[in-house]
Amino acid sequence: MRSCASGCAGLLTRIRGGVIAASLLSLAAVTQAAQPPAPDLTAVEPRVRAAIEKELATTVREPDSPSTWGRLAMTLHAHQFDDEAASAYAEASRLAPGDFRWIYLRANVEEARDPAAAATLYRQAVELDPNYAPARIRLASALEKVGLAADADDHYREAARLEPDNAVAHLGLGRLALARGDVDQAARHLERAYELSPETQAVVAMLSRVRHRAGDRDGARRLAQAARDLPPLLHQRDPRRAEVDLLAVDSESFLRRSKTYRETGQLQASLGELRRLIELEPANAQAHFAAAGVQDRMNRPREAAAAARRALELDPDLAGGRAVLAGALFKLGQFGEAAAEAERVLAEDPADVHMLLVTTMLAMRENDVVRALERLDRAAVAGVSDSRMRELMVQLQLELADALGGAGLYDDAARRIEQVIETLERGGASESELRLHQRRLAQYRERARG
Amino acid sequence: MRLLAVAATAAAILGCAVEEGASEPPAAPSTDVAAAGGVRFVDVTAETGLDFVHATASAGTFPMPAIMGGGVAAFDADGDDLLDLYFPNAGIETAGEPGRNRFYLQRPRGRFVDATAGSGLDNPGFGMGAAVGDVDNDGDLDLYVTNLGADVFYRNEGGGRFADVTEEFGVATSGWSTSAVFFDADLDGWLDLYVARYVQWNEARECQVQGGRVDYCGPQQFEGEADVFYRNEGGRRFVDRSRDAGVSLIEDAGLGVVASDLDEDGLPDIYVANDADPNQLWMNRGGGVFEDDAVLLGAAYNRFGVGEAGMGIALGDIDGDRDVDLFLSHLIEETNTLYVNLGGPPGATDGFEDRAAEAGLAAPSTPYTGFGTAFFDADNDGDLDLAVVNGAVKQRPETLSDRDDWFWRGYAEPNMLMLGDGAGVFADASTASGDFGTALDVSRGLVPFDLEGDGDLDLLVSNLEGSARVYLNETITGLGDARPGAAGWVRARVVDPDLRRTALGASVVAWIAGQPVRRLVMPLGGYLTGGDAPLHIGLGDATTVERFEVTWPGGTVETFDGAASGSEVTLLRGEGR
Repeated sequence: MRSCASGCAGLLTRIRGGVIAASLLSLAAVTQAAQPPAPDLTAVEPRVRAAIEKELATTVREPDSPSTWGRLAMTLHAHQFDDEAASAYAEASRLAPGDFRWIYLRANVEEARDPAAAATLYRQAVELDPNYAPARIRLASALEKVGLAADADDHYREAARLEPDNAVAHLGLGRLALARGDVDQAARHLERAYELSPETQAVVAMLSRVRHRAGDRDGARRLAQAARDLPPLLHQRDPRRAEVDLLAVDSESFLRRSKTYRETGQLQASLGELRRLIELEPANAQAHFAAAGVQDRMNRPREAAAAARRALELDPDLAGGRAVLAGALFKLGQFGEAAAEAERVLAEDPADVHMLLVTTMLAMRENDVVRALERLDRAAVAGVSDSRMRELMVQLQLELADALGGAGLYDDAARRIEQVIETLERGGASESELRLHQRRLAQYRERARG
Repeated sequence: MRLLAVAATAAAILGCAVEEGASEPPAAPSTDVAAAGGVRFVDVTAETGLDFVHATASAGTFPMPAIMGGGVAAFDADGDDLLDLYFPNAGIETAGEPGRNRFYLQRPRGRFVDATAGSGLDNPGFGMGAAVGDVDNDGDLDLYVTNLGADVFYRNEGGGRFADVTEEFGVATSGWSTSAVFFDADLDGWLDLYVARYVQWNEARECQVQGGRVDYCGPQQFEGEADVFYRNEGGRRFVDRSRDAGVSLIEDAGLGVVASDLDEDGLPDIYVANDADPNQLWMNRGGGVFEDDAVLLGAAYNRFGVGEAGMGIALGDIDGDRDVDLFLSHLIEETNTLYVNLGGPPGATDGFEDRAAEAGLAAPSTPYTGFGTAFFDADNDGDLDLAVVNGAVKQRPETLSDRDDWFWRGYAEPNMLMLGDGAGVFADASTASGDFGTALDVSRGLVPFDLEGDGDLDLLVSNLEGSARVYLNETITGLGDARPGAAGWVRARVVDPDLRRTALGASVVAWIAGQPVRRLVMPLGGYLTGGDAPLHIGLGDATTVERFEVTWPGGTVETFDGAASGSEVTLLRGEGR
């Protein structure tokens, strides 16, 4: 048995609310056994109502089945009926006390609203299945939220032992080491997390902090800049929880799942969610718009353009829809139409960087250097925060610098390279990458002088 | 016996064995009322004559701006040393009455009278918040009102009358402005202005929560909007320097903003709380240039590396180490965040670390959505305490209010009062704090101020879709109170006579019983809240402040004689040693 020593009294005070709440919930479950919850379904989508009513009916028919209660709980949980889900999970646990799933998922419900109660439930879940790493990580996270860093460290460590490639576990260990002032150990864990998940904001931001504390101020600053453009969350593999998320049938949930898949690079799965939603709701403009974005990422401009057109048919004011369409048309070589759509966007928002870059490219195609420079300057003034846009802007600046240099306009070419360096610095580029452009800048300046 | 049984159950559930000793648990904040000091607030709104009611006339239609507004300004508008109040409203007809902004003058003994008519302050825009500062150094306080739509700037003409000089001063900020702050960015003596902006809202967008229920949209549904930095040109006009300053490069959903010298290099920095985006820490590099170091310095995300829904900001030295710590209020299911300043040499700070959990501020906040917040000394014990006013932005999972006929009952939440121990740990005194902690409103703005001049800090709360409320602090009855625990206080105004105004950006160290207590001279802030109030310093068991050390903007330090409990002193630049 683990020990919490002389400070248990303090710890008990801290978690008192959560423990009492958890105990009361258990008590309620015992006394109200076999009474399914009664969620208020008046304002929910018909699909959601049907899904929940189906599970409620099954539960009434099979009140002694833990899996029926569990399925009802998961369906309620998926649609954010948290109180009702918690009580249904509690009943499932009462009927099947040894089943890890119900206590674990009930802890999921409590996690966001009562970290102390969640920690209590996660401990019980971990006792039932000590080898499920996501439970260890969620327990550690709940313990961190109630200030039990040492306990949290133990569970992150165990998760890392169970899954050595678990970036979330290394991130947790690194974070706690940094809080203890152990910069070396923090760096070791965070470098490992970075190796496993280099495109995650939380990892890159924390590594930036460690490098800053270790005295590498330039390296830290570059990482801090880069962190801004990365997806915010590190999606950890959690099959048990994923089963719940997949039960959600409201339109927002399809869009949310699609976004998660997109952020994790699973574009086909992302598109699959949107297709399912479009099948259910053919007139959902957001779904068509999101599908256009995914198709664009998959480099399928024809499909992207079609989806964007459909989205705009359904909602002509859809923010971003016209920009996706313009980008897709450009890729398809339909330059006239692309220009028209881009100008329509710019008439609404003169600082839309994506469209300024598209119109820069259109101007370059027509050898209209003056117009290209004007658009590119406007894009630079507006500033970019998206890494793909930044990459495109740098590429265009370099191409224009070449063109200007080739025409003997070395001062102008040098100014473009200055912009490149500024853009890259803001994006957290490495010193070696910057050095390349600094050399080029020096060459243009020298030619301008001579 | 009953308590022991609960403890034993808890230990069993947690897998702890009381009899075994090994790991070291953290200091646990007490939730005991007696330990919390018995701080108590009573709703005296009716007695004060304050009858402002915020209304958006939007029940059931869910326009996003309706759930985000409701700020307040508290400042001495007419030069009588009493704090007056200004409430932005939604500018929408409600039952035949326009929801106009309201201006209340305070009369002696804590009475407020509606002085809107003739004041020039009845702007009909969709109001959000306000900032206060003497922009022309003429000795009275001017007012900047943030709107959904063009902002408005009023010059104080004296006697409670104001003139709309928005065009003349060039500050009709467009879009959706939220919080704003006056500060002297370049130390030239003229107050500059930073305006946080939120998102590019599109009213055609309808939003649903999971399950398909329609509710207010969140910021993720829209593009963010870049903030605006204005340089004050000699008190005659402002010039938009956002691009040169660097602040126009980031388009995030800004809500709260404060100005303070966070790296102790002598220049005021800007900290912006963003909603669902990383926060910004604009470090002032001089020459009108700012650089966002929030990620680098650990103040962009929470401890888990996640950008949260930042709403209001409180600033103060919560652990007595004389540097400035930051607190942010957040959304339900997130934890409020305490960024403890790690110190470091001037201009090269080690940054901040989220220690909300260790401070006892994380878990109690998860059931609520926090907005206005402030560090203040609720019980005059010399330590900073913390108030947070709450109110949901989407229907709560469970409704707490029993007002069946009120559309916003599903959004109403109780407020929080956390008592500090001076070492960075807080105890939850919310439910024991009287009406402040039990009222169920949709709250947004918060101002600690001494209504009746009795030496303790009362609280003004502005609410959405409801009455503003005044909570009287009944903890301490004032100087001469013979009851055990009655603590002393000193109030200080910190003034630069050459500028004829409060020396915003100065900091004061009051030496009490041989110990330094640092307080900052800054505008009222938090969320959509502006104002100018004197420093209030609790003395605990001491009877005097032994001396004051003032660090003026620019770095000059002067020492002033101390003051006895119950004193109000004015520390004038150039008159110290």
